[in-house]
Amino acid sequence: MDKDSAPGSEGWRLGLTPGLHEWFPSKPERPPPLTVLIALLWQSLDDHPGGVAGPVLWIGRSCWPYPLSLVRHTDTVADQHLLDASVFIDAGRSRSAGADLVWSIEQAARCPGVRAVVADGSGLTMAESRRLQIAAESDRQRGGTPIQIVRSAHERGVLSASRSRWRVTTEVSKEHDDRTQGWTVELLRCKGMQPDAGGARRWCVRREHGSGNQARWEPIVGPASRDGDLDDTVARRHRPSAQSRTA
Amino acid sequence: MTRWHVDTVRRRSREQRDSGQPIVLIEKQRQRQVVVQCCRRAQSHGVRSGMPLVQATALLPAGQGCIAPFEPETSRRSLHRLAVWAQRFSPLVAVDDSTERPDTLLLDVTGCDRVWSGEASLLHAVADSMRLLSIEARVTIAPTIGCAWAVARFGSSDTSIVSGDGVRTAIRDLPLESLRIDPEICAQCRAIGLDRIAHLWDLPRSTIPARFGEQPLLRLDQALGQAIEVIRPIRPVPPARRERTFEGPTDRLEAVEIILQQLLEELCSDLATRECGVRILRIELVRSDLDPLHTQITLGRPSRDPQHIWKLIRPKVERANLGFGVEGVSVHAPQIGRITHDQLLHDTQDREPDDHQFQAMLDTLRNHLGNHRVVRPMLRESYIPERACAWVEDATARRSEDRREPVPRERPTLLLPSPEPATVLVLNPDGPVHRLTWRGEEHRINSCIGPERIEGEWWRGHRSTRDYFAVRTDQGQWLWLARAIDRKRWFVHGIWA
Repeated sequence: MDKDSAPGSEGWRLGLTPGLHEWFPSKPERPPPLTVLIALLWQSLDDHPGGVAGPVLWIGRSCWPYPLSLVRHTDTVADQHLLDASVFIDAGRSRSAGADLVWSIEQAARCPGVRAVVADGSGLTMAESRRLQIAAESDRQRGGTPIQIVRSAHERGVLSASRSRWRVTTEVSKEHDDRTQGWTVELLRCKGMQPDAGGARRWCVRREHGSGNQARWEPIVGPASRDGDLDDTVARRHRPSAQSRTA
Repeated sequence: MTRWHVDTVRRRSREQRDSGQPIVLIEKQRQRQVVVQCCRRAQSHGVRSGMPLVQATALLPAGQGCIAPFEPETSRRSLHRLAVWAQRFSPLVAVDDSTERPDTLLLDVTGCDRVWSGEASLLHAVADSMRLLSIEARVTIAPTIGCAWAVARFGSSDTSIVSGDGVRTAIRDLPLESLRIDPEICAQCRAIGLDRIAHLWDLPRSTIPARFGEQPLLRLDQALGQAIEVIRPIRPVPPARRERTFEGPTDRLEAVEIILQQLLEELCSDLATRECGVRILRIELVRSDLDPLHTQITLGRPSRDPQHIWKLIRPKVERANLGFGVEGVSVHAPQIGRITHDQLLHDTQDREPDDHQFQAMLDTLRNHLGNHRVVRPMLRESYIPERACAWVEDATARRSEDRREPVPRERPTLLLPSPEPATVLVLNPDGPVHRLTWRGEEHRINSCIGPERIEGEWWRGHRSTRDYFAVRTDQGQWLWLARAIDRKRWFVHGIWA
């Protein structure tokens, strides 16, 4: 996406661009937004039909999805491309393993041919996120690797060098016996985009229960939520200087 | 080996070994199943080779007995492995293939008796080793192959030594079959009253070929040492190993590194001629004042790229304590795997150069984090959620498409590490869930889809049957709720995160 341009109805595709993308659940106790990430990865596979399906790495046990949910069903076939492309890496849980985690993500991001990396990024510092952002864009020939970093909700105030920040909220529905599952995906921040630029900043991922992982993205028309605006102000206030922003 | 084929089956499976059930090996002959060989226990019940299976099962006690198909290829391969093992007794070991179902090893022990201080102790060493391996065997040392074969099979004792001039007396009273003569010829001989070997050599030599062909005389001469018979020893494959000893101990890491790199290159070029690559590499540093230091790396796919292997092993060598100095270095690949030739690699289209780099990256992660931490999911034939997927470390393992059962359509994206207990309010026993208390919080349930019943796999001892429901809380969260039928308890097993 060009600098300073507003995202359109397909703006969520920003998450597929090379670079570091941070994903926050709406509440601290909520699990990582895996359904949305899986829908995003399927989109990345669908964008290159017949092409070489590069591997997808899931780093950190807390963001390992249940492998059977990586299988997408059509009427007749069970599509296992994403499952077969997936490699799961457990970089440890202890605090000392943080270095291993960042190292593993960096190794994966610098490896050519990797389609995407989904990693547990809780406790990531500013310096580490800058390091990962550089690693993600290191492969100049092909543009780089998208790294999806899953963080917990209370880390939203922590600064990072990521390309974009997203928040995922589960849709509340008052309807009874509704089979639709929905998640609102909100673009909180994006490098090079003004916080008050127009255009859609919220989308919705919807799927029918029993559809076999067939998800669709829909834009949501309307103003961004109050909380989302607040987040931008926090980020702006903490920006140290104009130099580091342009660096 | 008197019951080699049965022993092969028993040694292959631990269950067989522990249960001690009688084993019967069968084979299909002319549209009926016939016993090929049976173990000693089965024999004590009256089972014999050549007996129809129906008769054998009738003789065995009800509910007992393991009936397995005879696999000649497996048996032959095991015998070859045993022959390799038997090279500890003599450098020349051969598999005897004169019979239909080979079960005999021939060892040329000329001169080896001195190492074992006498033939008797060599004989006992072999017999004891076989007993330890729980292989029933009869061992004979004799001047000729024919004599040893005859005495081992038809002699009175399990272990015997035939001296140079005792060949005639040793085989005099043995039946004609012991000379490795075809059964039809033996039958013809028996028809005219020739039962024993002594009867054969009493006949005028010129009359025998006319009636029975060349074979009986040739075999007799071979047994008596009057005709030449050579054994064709198996050719041992040298282990993939390279080593170097320094002139004196050195504590310079650079020197050790240079030698290691050289050894790795030599090992890799050795492997290139075998069209193989390293799977496990072990390095040994012999230190002057300490125990030898062993370091090992495991690769996801076989590789013979010295640079890649060196990149993996170098951090481990750098951390090594060299003590007062290293006296020698050895590089050993205990496990190697087959890889296609480099020339072919570039020819095939399906292998991308990226894949090579990706595998190299995974190897780096594996050696840093540990093998069990880099895994691939593999679907298994099970509907039980926690069993439906296995984690495999091996990059070359087969992929998931081998599952014959259809993959369940709807599964949560996150399966909780262990099911978390929940309290549930339902208005009628099989009706939808109304309220749910989980993690100390009470939720109203808006939608409840289910139940999906998953039966326990009783054949694996997993008997619990569960009913699964997909429920949506008033907060919009979708949970995968399960009810254990027999224990009447509810738990949350997964989340659509």
